[in-house]
Amino acid sequence: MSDMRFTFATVQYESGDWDSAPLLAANVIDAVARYTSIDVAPSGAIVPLSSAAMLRYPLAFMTGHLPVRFTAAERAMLRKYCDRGGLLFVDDHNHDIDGVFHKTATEELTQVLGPLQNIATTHPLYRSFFTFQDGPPTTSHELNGWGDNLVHDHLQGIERNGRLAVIYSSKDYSSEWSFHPENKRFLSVDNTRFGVNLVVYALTR
Amino acid sequence: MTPLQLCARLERVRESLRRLALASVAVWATGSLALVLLIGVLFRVTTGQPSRALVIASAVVTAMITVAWRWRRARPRDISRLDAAIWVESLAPSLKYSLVTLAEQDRASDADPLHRRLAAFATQTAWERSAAGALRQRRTRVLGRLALAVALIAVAAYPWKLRHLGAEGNSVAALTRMADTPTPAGRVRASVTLLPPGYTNRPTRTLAFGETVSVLAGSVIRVDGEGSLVGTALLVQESSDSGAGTPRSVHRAPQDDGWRGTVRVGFTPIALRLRDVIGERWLLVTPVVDSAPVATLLLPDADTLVFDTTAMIRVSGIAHDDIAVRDARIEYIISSGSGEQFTFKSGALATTRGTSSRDVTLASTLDLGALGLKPGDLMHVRLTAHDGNTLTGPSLGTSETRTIRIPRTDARDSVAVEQLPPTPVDKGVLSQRQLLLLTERLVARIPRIPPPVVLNESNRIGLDQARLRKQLADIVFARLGDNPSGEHAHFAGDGHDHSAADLASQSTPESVLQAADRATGGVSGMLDSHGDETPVVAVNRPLLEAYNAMWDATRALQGGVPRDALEPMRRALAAIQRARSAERIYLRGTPPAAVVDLAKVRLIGTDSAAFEARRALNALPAPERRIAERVLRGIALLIANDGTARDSLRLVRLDALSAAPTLAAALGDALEALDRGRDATSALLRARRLALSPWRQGPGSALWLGAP
Repeated sequence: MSDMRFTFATVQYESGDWDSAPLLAANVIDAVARYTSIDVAPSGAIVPLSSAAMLRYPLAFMTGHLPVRFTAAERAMLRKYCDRGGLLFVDDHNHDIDGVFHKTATEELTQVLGPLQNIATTHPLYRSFFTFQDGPPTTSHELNGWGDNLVHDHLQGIERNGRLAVIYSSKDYSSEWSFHPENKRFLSVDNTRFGVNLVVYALTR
Repeated sequence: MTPLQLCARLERVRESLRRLALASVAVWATGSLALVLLIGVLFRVTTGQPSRALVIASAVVTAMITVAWRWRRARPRDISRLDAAIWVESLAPSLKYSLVTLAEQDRASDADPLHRRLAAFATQTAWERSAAGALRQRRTRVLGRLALAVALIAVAAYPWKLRHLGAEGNSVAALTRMADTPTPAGRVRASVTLLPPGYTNRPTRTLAFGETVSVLAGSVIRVDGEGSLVGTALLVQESSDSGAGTPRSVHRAPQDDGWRGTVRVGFTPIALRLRDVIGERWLLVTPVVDSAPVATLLLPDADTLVFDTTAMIRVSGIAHDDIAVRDARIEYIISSGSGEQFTFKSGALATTRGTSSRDVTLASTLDLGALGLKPGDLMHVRLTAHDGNTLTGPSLGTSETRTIRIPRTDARDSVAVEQLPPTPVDKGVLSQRQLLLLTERLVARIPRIPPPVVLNESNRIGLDQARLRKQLADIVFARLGDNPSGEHAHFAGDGHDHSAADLASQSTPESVLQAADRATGGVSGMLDSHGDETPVVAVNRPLLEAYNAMWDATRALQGGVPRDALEPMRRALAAIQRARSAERIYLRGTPPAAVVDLAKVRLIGTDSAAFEARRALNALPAPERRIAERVLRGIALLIANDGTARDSLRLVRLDALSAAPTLAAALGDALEALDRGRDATSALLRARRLALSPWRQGPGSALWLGAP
């Protein structure tokens, strides 16, 4: 495998259930291959957050339902990863802002990198490949009233050097995108297109 | 006085005038130098700008310009004897140009009568006294102006004489020497007081100019000065990564007998500069940032697996802060549930508040029973501490998190289930919607076509309906965890011939429900139950309903009554639509290594499958075929008549001993096993395989000896 290939990385952290969306990586890879000419690895990678291997992946995905408590090594590597141009995409698999993942993950991110801010719907993230006029696409889970029974208008983020270093989602893309990519043929509109925007943004900013 | 003597005296006057002109140029230069220096010093005292080098350079340049200007105007070297005579004539008009006329002569001579007459006339006038007096006055004036300019330069340069100790060296030693110097007359008296942030409860402290001090960020430095604000300046200069920044003036408020200025210390080093007419004094301040508390969890010292839900676990930790720990606690979060359903509860075990100590120790005991922990629960424990920083905090310190896990009783029985990709779509099967459209079209044509045609077309649609139902059954069986092909190779209405017993036992809706019942733990009556149904049945319910409806539709179509099939076909279609929008169930386990076929996704794949060319099997030669048929018949006879079958196989073995020894050996093994009452299956299988193989090889080919 060439090192120049884009490899979708799923973050493995000590606490919680980091592996709760096992098929999301394949789905995003499928979308990247389907719509772009990006040289993409056919399968994702699992990388410990405390490992220096994090620095090999421009985009890292993190999800879970359970409390997030970073270790000191994880905090240090996360800070280094974001300072060096990495993009961490964090998704709340509980889709519940009153849930413990949201509370603990945002607390940890704030402690390490600073407060989360709403990402405007005009942000280049929503136009990096596909255009999402209304900001982040909704998921069936929030539309069905699960979790906190809210449709979140914004994603949140933390910027470093004029670019997003962390994107935090309460929309539960982990559930929305965790299906086998072969099943995309049953969808009238591919709901994983926003994943392409994330990848393109991470690679170009 | 002779003409020559007169000319010599006039020459001395000219020389005096030239010296006075030179002195005047010097006075102008010194005066301009002093003026610029004075202005620069006044600016520096009040604003701190411009720099000394700039002031000196400006003064020198101004002086040089002045010299050039005055030299060009006075032209000292060009003062001639005639100019001196004219200056004298202006002082003594009674000379009546006699001196000027004499000076105009190129060469004066005592022999020339005109020269003698002019000299005699000039001698009668006392012009020398007037000229000497005027020269004395001009000399005095020039010297006085020169002295004044020099004095101004001395005044302007005096402050630098002291200040260069600190400003040039910028060292603490120089500042200290300056502070130790007795206060000269005119120096402003000022006291400096350090006010630490209120939350630290630390006392105020007196500082002095010349010190280098470390103070807590957020502290206030107060300077109280005596006397008037005029002639003094209090400046603060911040340090930055690129060096010292621009000094800025500190606001000072007049007090009863002086003034007061305050500076809040931020997060960068600063220099506090008090400037007066005498010089400048410095106070260097480096900030110390209040650090966050350091929390350490001592017990449990590692993540723990606890099987006993009534266990008591000791928890302890310490928190330390450089000022004081305001509060500390051991907090926990308990997570229960799995999959998509999780519940949480949190709390604190030991809490301390309002302490002023720098070190706090916490200890408590975790009572798992009192906390209501159940198998499968997960508990996170950590120690948190806040300091009392009200300026930029309070800062939070957290320890590493320890995890206490209560394993499920079936944890070791669980298996990883990976989601499978969907089965490939059988494009030869008509969809339910297409079948419905065909049936509706047939029903509309019934009045116009004869009954045999209706029956024929209805049967054809019924056959397609049955095939679709078979596809649906495969999906249902796959979801229920059974073998997708395990329903049967044939099914009711598929056009094949099977017995009624097979149909009754294998292809009815009841059989499917029984399969679901087996897969879900024996819950009966699933289709009629809406509560307490297992997730597997809940997900498959729409498909089972569609399966039932298809069964009704198939029977109506095969009975030649397509009109009766419309309603169940519509029900089947609606059920399939419901199944499509049904909620998904996510099964957790080891993350599957899903590999995307990039070539297929990008539609650039090529058919690279290589098939081996098929070879036609040669028919067995006649003797071998006869032997093989006898072996197969003998084996088949074993089920019905054991004794006869053994005799037949013994005869076959006898015939094969010479031609096919391996076959004879296999038959011998099988017969021995049968005779001894042992399992002869493997030996019989080997014998059958050898019998069906071309054991008689052609000339030159090696004899195949069968399986090893």
